[in-house]
Amino acid sequence: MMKQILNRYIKTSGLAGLVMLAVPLMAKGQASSGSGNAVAFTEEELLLGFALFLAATLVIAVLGLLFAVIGLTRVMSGKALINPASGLEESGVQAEESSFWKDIKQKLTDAVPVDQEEKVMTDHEYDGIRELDNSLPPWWKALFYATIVFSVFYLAGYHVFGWAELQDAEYNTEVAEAKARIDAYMASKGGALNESNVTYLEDEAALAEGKSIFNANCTACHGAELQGTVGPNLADEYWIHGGSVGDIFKTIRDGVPSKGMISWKAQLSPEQIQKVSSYIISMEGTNPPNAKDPQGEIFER
Amino acid sequence: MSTQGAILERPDHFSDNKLKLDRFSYDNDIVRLFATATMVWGVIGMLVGLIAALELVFPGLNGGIQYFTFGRIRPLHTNAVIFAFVGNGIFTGVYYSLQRLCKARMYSDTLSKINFWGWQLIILSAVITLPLGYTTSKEYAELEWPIDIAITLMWVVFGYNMFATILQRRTRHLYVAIWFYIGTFVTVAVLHIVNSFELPISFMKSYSFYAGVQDALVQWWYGHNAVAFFLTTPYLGLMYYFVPKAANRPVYSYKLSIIHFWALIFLYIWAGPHHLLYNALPDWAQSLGVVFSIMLLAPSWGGMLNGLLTLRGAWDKVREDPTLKFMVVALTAYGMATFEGPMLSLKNVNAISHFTDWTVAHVHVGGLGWNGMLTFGMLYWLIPRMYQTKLYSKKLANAHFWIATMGILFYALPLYWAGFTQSLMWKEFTQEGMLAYPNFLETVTQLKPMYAARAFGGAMYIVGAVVMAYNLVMTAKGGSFLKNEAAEAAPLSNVYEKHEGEHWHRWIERRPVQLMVGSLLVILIGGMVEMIPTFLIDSNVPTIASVKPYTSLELHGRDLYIKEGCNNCHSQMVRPFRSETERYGEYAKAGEFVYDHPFLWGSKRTGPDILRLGGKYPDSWHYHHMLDPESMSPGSIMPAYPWLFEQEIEVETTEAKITAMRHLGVPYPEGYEKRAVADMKLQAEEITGNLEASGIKVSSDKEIIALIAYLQRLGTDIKADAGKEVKPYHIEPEK
Repeated sequence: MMKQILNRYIKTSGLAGLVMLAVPLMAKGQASSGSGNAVAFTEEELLLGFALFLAATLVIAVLGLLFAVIGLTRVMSGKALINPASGLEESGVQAEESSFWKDIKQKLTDAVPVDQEEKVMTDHEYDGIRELDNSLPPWWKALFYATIVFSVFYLAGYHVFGWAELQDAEYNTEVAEAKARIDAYMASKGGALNESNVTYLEDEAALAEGKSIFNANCTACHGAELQGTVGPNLADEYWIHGGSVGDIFKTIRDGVPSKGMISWKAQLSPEQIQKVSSYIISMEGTNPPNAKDPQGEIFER
Repeated sequence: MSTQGAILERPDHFSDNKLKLDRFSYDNDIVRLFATATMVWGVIGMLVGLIAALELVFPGLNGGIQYFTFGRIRPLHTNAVIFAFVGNGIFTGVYYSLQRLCKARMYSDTLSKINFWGWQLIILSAVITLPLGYTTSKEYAELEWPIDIAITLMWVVFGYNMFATILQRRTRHLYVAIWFYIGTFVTVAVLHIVNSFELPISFMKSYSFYAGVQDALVQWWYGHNAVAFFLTTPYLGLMYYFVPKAANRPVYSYKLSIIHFWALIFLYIWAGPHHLLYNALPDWAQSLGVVFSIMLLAPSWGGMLNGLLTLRGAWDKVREDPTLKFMVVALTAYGMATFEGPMLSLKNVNAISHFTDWTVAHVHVGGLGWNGMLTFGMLYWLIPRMYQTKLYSKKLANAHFWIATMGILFYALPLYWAGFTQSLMWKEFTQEGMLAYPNFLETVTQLKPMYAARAFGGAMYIVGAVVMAYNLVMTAKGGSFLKNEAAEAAPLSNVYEKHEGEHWHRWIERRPVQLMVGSLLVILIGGMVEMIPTFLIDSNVPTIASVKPYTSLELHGRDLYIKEGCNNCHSQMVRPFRSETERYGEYAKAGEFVYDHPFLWGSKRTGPDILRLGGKYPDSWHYHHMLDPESMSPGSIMPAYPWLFEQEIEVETTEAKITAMRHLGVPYPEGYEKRAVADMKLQAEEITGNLEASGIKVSSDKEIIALIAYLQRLGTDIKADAGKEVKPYHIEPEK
């Protein structure tokens, strides 16, 4: 009796667990955070990853707990001592152990106890190795069935019913969501800086920050003292792509790919670009040693 | 079920045959040879791994010598531990157990010897050629075509010897270990041959027969199943022999053996595409990779359960016996790795883990835990027996056990941490929608302490292996080697009387040929279902008109990229995530790779992805960066490549390269191979011109120029700048 119930329980809970695993996965493409939180996607992605592990652990933990409770009740009601023959008769096994751990282990594996294993001994013998023919552990079978069911739902979900988006669509959704979130955030801040509204910052703090941004990102090509190495000299009055703060802002943001100047818009925020542009302007005319020859047009400030 | 099993083992000869016993002997000599090779190559392979690990902490460790950069010795490490350490381990265990399970000496001592020496020569050739830069770039299949042929020959020698022994056996039925050996033999043969299709252009240089997406699919079908059929199935066979032997317990469940064997080999072969999730592989193939990986969980655990439950009633022995301790940890590590594998195959987990150190940690739990520990356990059991003595020191063996176990933890935990940390950093955005860590290097420097800790864990593991080697050498010294172990058994009669209540599966256990053919059919299905449509149906790789063949100079640069093993640290696969397209540019499309023989998508980003590197920096940036990476990227852990500035481009092979590529379907115009060298000069001089404008004087025939040409070409074909200048050396493919 007990055994049948347990078997059934294991199977259904295994399936339930797998469905739990499948749901966040299926939902992934459609799930829209809508919370206005700018880093939501990454978090969501992580959360889903963790949810998977958590769900799996939870199923195992619940199962373990259930077995412990059943074992305990049986020990307390004295049944285990009397030997629950009704449940074990089916496999023709007499349980003599009273320890409920053994009992639990037995239930989990449906194994014939070691001292009675002759009953499932096969006539196979290879170089002294013999083989028992214990049943497949019920939880293992349940796991196997569950993974097969999961697979059917997974394939059908992605490729027949379209419950979840395939990767290109998923990408478009991700980008669209992020754009909406960023636009909302920018609107709440009163619009973003751009080349037409950017201004030169004079305060010390902004220039100091501009300097540190410059040192972290720009020195490899423009030199620590802006003298120019791979890239042009930035400490003179000559500018290839315009010398106004708006021009410099635009050059940094969009880059000049054909000449090797990369676009920094993915790496520096508009505020950071404003600060580093201001720093560069503040360094004009410093005449560093080993300066590269002037390039471009002279710009009068 | 009868309880008199042992007596009824061969129920067909209990009458008249009983007295006619064959006397023969088991060949222990070949086992000893392979065991020695296992130990020696094990320590060497792991040491190479340690050096590679340290190079990530101290980038200058190669001492400016081209043969020892990370890119060149990482393949040496993987090949050495897989094919030399585990490979010799497989042969050790198979040659020992097969003879005893078949009650027959190996079919031919000569073939055994050829197998041994041939295999060692192959390994030696790998040790020489990989640091020299002779590589196909395909992971775990880096060895060039002449060595591929040698591997095929040796594998046939091994298979022939094994199969002939099986046919001469004196036991009626084949034990589960032998099913795994046969499955291993046929599958490895298929994998190796299909993945090694390549067109030689010279001695030690060839191009993969497949291109781009198709090459990637074949490669990871191979790569994943190298793990399955070289690191897993043969070792499960060894486990089925050595665990019950060492514990002196019957195998737990015959039913479980049957179902997990067939399920495992059938399902494993499909799972390869899980290495290519969110890549340019068609979605349907990715999904197959996911679900078959998930379905693998139970059959994999079947092996672990059958091993661990065999130890029921013997756990007191586990506390005492070093062999069993190692095997318990091996089985546990196997269980952990085979749980983690399916989880990593889920797309949302893979989105985080792929290209990070998480994968490296995962494979080392499998490699160090399952293969390493099982090998050690097997050697501790074998050597004293073959030397007819007791183990020299149980204390040292126990010490080895703890050092190795702790070593695995010290190795894996920092890398899990590193993988997770780095992936989070890659994916984090600010509220303004900017990458929080836009400079890739920031995410690398974070990991340096973890890399150091990993090297420490690896060093511990090697110390353990050396302790074992000492212990076993001392054991051998204290004993006397039994070269030929006498045995006797009755020959098989021609008639077999099936006895009542026999399991249906016994039928195939009496028929090795059918078993081999059966397993061959089972493993062919998955590969065929995934590959044939990918190769034949055009919509799987949509063509892009603007994608052109590489110019001759770029092709040479690409070969240098392969030679230096750049793909070991740099991927060329921007995945469809906002965090990647913001960082690297447009995500990869299948049609971009149609001329890539071989594909170079990579599997790990120790450095950034470089699919869209072309045009991002000026030529002079690359020049400085290759000469001294830290000059352009302070804190970089990439080594310097000064030899590229001295060595000249090898123009002798240019014509052969173009011709070979055309044979493989790259539409070079008629006669291009004749113009190729002149064309190369034209493009090279434009680059030297650019460099000169930046104050760099370099001759146009140096290898660095070819490499710069290739790097500047990367990913540019689909960039939508209409005003792109048409250079004279750009190739208009033939229609």
